[in-house]
Amino acid sequence: MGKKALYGLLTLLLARCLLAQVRFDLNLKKIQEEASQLAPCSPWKNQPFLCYLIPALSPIRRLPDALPSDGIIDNKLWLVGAKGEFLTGSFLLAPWKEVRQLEVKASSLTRKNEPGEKTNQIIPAQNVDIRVVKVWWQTGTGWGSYFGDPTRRQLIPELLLHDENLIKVDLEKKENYLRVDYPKASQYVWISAPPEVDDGKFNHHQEPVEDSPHLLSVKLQPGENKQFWLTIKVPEKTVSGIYEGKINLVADSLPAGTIAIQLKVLPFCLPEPRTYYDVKKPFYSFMYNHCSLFTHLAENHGNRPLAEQKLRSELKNMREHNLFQYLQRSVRLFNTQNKEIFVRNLELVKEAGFSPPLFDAFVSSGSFWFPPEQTEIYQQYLKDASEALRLIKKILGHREVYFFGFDEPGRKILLAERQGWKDLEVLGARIFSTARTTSHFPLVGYAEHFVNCPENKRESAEKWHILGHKIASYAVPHTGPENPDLVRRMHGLVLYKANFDGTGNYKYYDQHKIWNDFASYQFRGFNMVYPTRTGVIDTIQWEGFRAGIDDIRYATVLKTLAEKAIASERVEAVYTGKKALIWLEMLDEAKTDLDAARLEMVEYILRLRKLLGEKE
Amino acid sequence: MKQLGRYLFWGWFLTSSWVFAQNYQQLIRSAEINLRKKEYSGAKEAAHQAREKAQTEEEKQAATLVIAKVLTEMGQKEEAKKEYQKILQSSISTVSQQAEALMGLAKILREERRYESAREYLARIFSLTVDEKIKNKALTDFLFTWSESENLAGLKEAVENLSQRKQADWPNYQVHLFTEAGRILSSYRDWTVRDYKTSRRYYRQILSLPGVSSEVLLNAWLAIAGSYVAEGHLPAARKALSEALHLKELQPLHKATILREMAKTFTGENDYQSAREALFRALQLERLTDGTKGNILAEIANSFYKEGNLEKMAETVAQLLKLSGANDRDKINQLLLLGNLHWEKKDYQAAAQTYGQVLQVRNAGKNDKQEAYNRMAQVYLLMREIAKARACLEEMGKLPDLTEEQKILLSLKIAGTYGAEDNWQEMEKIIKGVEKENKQLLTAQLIETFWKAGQFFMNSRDYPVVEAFLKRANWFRASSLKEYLCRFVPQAPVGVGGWVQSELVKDKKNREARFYNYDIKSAALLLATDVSAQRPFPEEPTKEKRGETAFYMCYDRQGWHIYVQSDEPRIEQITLENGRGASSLEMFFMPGENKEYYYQWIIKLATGEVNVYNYHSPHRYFHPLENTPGNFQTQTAVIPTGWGTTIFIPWECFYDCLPFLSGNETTWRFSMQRWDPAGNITWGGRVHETGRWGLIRWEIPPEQEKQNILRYLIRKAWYKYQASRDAAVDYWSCSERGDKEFYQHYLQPEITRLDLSGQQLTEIDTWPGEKLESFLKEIVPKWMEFTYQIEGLRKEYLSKKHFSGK
Repeated sequence: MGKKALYGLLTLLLARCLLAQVRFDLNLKKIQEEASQLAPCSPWKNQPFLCYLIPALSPIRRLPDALPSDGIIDNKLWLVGAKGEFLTGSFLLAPWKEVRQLEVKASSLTRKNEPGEKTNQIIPAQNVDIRVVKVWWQTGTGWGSYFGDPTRRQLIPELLLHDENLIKVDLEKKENYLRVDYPKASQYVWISAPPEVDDGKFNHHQEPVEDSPHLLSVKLQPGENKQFWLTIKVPEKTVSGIYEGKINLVADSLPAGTIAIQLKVLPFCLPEPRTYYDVKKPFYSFMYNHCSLFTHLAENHGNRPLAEQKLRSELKNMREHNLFQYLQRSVRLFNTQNKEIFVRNLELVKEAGFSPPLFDAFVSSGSFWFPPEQTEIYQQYLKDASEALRLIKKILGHREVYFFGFDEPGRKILLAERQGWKDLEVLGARIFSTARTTSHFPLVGYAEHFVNCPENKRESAEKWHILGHKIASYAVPHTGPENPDLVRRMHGLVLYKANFDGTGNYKYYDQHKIWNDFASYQFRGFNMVYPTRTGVIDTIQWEGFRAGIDDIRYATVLKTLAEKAIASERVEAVYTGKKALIWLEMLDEAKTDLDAARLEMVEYILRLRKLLGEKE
Repeated sequence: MKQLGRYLFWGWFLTSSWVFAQNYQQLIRSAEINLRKKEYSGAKEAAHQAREKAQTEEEKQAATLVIAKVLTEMGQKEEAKKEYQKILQSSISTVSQQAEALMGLAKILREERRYESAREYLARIFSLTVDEKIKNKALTDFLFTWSESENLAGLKEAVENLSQRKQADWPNYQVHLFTEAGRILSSYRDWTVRDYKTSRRYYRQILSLPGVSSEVLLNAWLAIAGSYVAEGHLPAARKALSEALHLKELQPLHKATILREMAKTFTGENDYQSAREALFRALQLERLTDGTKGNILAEIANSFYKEGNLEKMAETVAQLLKLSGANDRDKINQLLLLGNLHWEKKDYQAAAQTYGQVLQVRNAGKNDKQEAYNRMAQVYLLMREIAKARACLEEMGKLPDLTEEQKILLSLKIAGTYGAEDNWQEMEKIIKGVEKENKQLLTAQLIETFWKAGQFFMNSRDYPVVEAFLKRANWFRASSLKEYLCRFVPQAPVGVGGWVQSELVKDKKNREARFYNYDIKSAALLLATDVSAQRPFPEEPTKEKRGETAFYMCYDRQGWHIYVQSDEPRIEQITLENGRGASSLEMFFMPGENKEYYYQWIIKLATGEVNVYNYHSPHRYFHPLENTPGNFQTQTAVIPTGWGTTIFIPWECFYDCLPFLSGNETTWRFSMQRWDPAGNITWGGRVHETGRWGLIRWEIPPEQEKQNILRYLIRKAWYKYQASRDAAVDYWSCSERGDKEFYQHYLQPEITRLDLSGQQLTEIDTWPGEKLESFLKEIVPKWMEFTYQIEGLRKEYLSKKHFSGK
C-alpha cells in the first residue's frame, strides 16, 4: 500500500472514530444539561445516568445518541394489564459516566392490600424479565419496510437480548458480528457483509448460537443511551389489584437507584381474539413458518432430540406471542414425507396448546399436482388426505383443518385445483388459499373456504363473508419491518376493524438470510424472531405483534360486554354499551396512539363490568 | 542455412498440400468439418466447390445435401428447401440421401411451425428402405412434432393409428413407437399436463409384444418405474421394479440397476435404511464390474452423508477408494462430500486430508483438483495454517490450462493469504501487479473477480481480507448519484395543461431525462414476488420504440410540484384499447438523506389509478401521504406526445423538515421508474434501493418568499388546530359522550395555552424571519398534531386514574 493511500486510510478511520465520538459527545452534553436541571430530590440526581421512562411499543426509533422526545425522567413505571397477559414496559438509561458493569435485577411484585385485606399475593420475580434492546445496523429500509436496500445502513433497535455481547456492533465500520460459542472458543461471525460476498446462509440448526437465559451485566459508555425492555407475565390466577415491585440498578457494585414498578392487574382474563363483525366468530392468528420436525431433521442431519427441543421452544414462543393457531407446512403425499414425523409434529403442536383450526398441514392442490385422470396417484393423494384428516382428529381431537392450496396461484393453477377442492370437500376437508379478492372471488371463490389476501380493506372482507367464508391478511407488510408500532397496528386493530377473520403473515423467521440483513438486493430477512440452535431470540416487532393481538382481545372483551349490556335492557347499561361500540367504530385505528386506545378500552370495559355487576 | 532450407521446404509442402486438397473428397470433408464446427461460410464455400468438382451425379447429390444442411443452419431456409427438393426430384439420389433430405425439409417446416407438412415428409421415410436408425429418428421427430405443437391429444391419436401399422422391414418399430411416445408424454415441458398414465400404458404395451428381448423388457419396466417416480408415486415405482426383478435372463448388472433404482425410491421417502438394504443387495450380486460396485458404494456413502453419519460414510468411502476399477467421478464426489462433513463437524484436519485425497485419484480433472485445492486452502485458513493454505493455492496455479480469469482469481486469493497473516504490504503488491498485468480486463470483470476473492475468504472467516477486496472493488465502482435542483417559483403551473404550456417545461435546464434501463432480471423477480404492490403484471417487452421520459420539478408557497412527461409512440393504440399496454410510474422519495422512512406511489397512466404506500406508522413525527384533496394529489392526461402527469405534495406534510430552512436536511432522496412494455427505466437504482436513488437539492427561496411560505404554514396550522380543538371540546366537555373531569383538568388548560399562542397571529405579517422560524418550530407542531396531544393527555389521565384509587 502506498504511503498516500495509507495516510488516506488512517485519516478515514480517524474521521470515522471522531464522527462516532462526536455523535456521543453531543448526546453527552445534552445528558449533562438535563442532569444539571434535575431537582435536588430527583432519584437520579447523583447517579451515573438519567433514567427515562418511555413507551415500549413506540414508532419512534430509539437511538443510542438521541434522548427520547417522548420520555420522562422518572423512577415509576406504571403498567396496566389483564390476568394472564404479557405486559411490556421500557426504560432508557442515558449515562454521563462510564459504568463497566451495570446489574439490573427485578424483584417480585407484591399486591398492595386494600384496607382490611390480608392477602399475600405476589407475582414472582421469575415472571419479570428484563432484556437489553440491541441497536444494530440494518438496511436503509429497515425500520418500516421489508424490501432489501443494502446500499444504506442505519442503526435500528431490534433484538431483545439477555446477553448484549451476543451481537457486537461496530459503530465506526457500520458492521454487525454474531458470537458463535464453539466448544474450544467463541468466535464472532460477520453478519453484515454485502450481497456481493455473502448470501446470508447460516445453519442455525447446528451452529452453537444461544442467548443467556437471564440478563447479564451490561456496560454503559458516557453519552451512549441504552434501552431496556421489561416483560411481565401476569399469572392467570392472579388476584386483581395493584402490585408493587422494583428494579434495582447496581453500577460497578454500587447502588445506582431503583425503578418502582406499579402494576394494576385488571379483574379479568383476555379471551382468544374474536372478529369485529361478529363477536362469536374467532379471529385467527397464525404465521407461515419453517418450524417443523421435517425441516429441523433435514438441516441437522437427523438429530431428533435437538430437532424436538428446537421445535418445542419455537412453538412455545409462538403461543406466548399470541399465535393461537398453528400453520404446519403441508405434506403432499405420505410416501414422500414420513408419516411418523407428521404424527410427532402434531403431538408437539397439541402439547404447545394451539387452538383449532390447524392451517396448511396437507396440500389442497392435489388435482394440480396429480391430475385426476392420473387415477392411481390421484386416488393415493385422496387416500392420504383422508389419512391426514384421521390423524389430525386422532391427535388433536378435532378435524378443523384447512388444507393449503398452491401459494399465490395464477389463473391456470387455480382452475387445475378446482377438482381436488371438490373431492376434498367431500372428504370433509376445507380449503385455504392465498388469494386476491378481485381475481379469486369471481373465479373460484365458491370453493375457497379461507383466503389469505395481501389486503386489509373492509370491501374485501364483505365479499367473502357473503359466502360465509373467511379472510385473513398477509404481506401488508410482510414481516421484517422493525417498527413495533407498525407491526402492532397492521396485525391488530387495522385488520380487526376491516372485519378480517385473522392474520396469517409471512413469516416467523427467514429460511435463507437469517442474520445478515444486507445479503440481498430483493428483500430483507422476513424475521419476527431470530433462530438459535435450540430456540429463538425475540425482537421488538414481535412484541408489537403480541400487543396487536392483545388489542383485539381487549376489543373482544369490550364488544362482548357491550352486547351483554345492550341485551340487559337497562337504559344506563344499554347506553354505555352502545357508546362503547360507537367509540370503537369511530376510532381511527390507522392513526391513533394505540396505547391510548388500549387504556380507553380498559376504561369502557371496567365501566361496563361495573354496570353489569361482573365478578372477578 | 540448413534451418532456412527446412523452413522453405515445409512452407512449399503445406502450400502445395492446400492446393492439392482442392479435390472433391477433401472439399466435401472440409465442408462437413466446418459444418460441425459451425463455421458456416467456410462450409458453404467448400460444399459449393465440391459440387463443382463432383465427378459423378452421386457426388453432386452428396454435395447438394451438405449445402442444404449448411443453408438450414445459416437460416437461409428458402434456399435450403430448394436444395433439398433437388435431391428429392433427382432420380440419381440414393434412398439414404432422400431420407436425409426429407428429414432436413421437415426440420425447416418444424421451425416454421408447419407441423402437418413436416409430418408428411417424415412419414414418407417410414416406407423407405433405409437403415432402421434413420427410420427411428424420423419416427421420433414425427412424434415430437405433436409435442412442439402442444397437442398431446393429437400425439395419442397418432400413436393409436401408427400402432396399427405393420412394418415388416422395421423390427423394433413398435418398441420404438411406444418408448418415444411414452417418453414425450412423461417428460413434456409443461409438467402440469404430463400424462404419466398413458405413458405407462405405452410402456406396458411393449411388455406384451411378442419376441422382444429381456433388455427391451427391462427398459420398459424401468420406464414405467421412472414415470411413477416423476409423478411422486414411489411405492408404485417400487412395485414395477420388483416386477422387473422377476424377468428371465437378467444379467447381474441389470439386477443391480433395478436395485439401485429401488434404493432411489426409498431415498425419496427419506428412508435411508431401506435404501441401503437395496444397495447392499445389489453389492452382493456376482460378476459386477468395479465401476458398478463403485456406483453402488457411492450411493451408500451418500445416504450416510444425508444422515450425518461420519463414521459409516468414511468407512464406505474407504471401500470405494480401494476398488481400483471404480469410477473416478464417484470417488471424487464422495471425497468432496466427506470432506464437507468433516468441515461441518469442525474437524478441519480430517477435512483437509480428505480433500487432499481427491488429488490422488488417477483421473481427477483440472476442475476437481481446483475444487480440492480451494477447499483445502479454506480449511487451512480456518486452522490458521496460512502457509499451507497458500501452498495449496500455489499448487493449484501449476495446473495446466487455467483460464486467464482463473489465474487472476488465484493470484488474488494468494494475495489474500498474505492479508490473512497481516502482511498487507505484500497483499497490496500482488493486487497491484494483477491490476497492472490485466489492464485489458473490463472494470466489471475486475470488480467481479475481487468479489469472488472476497467470497473465498468469507468462508474462512478472514474478514479483514474480505473487506480489503470489497474496498478494492469499490474503487472501480461509480458512486456518484444524480442530482436535480428543485427551484422556487412564485406560482407553479396548474394541471397538466398548465405544465405543458409553461415556461418551466420550455426551459431545457429544468428537464431531467437521464433515465437508464432497469435491471430486468431483478426487477422481474421483485415484481413476481412483491404481492402487496399494485404494479401491473410484467409484460413481454415489445420491439416498439420506447418513448422518452422526463420530469420537471419546482416548489411554491403551497408545496412541491412534479411534472412527468411520458412520451408514448403507441398512445393512439393504447387509448383505442382502453389503456391496454400502457406504462405506469413508480415514484419514491425520502424527505432528507438519512430518514428511517420514505414514501412510494404507483400511478397507472391509462386509468390514473394511484396507490400510495407509507413506509412508517403515523404518529406525531411522521405524516403519511394520503391521496385526498388537500394532501397528495395527482393528475394524468393524454398530451400530444403521450402522457403528462402532475404530482403535488403540500408543505403541511413536511412542516417539520422544510428543506430550505437551516438546521434541516437540504437534500432529499428521490427516484422513479417507468414500467413500460417497451422496456423499463429508472432515474436511479432499483425500487426501494434508497442508497442509489438520486438527490433533490432545493434552491433557497428569496427571503420574502420563504417568510411567505412560513406564514402560510403557520396560518394553516392554526386553522387545523382550531378545527381539532372545536371537535375535541364538543366531545370531551359533553357529560354524555366525553369525560368532564378529563376535559377540565387536562384538556382545557392545554387549549388555553395553545389558544394564547394563536392570539399572536394578528401581528404575523410583521414578524421577522427568525420569529417565524421559531414559531414554526415551537408552536406549529402542537397545533398540527393536536389530536396526538389529546391522546397523550388522555393516556396520562387514564393511567393515573388506575393508581389513584378512583
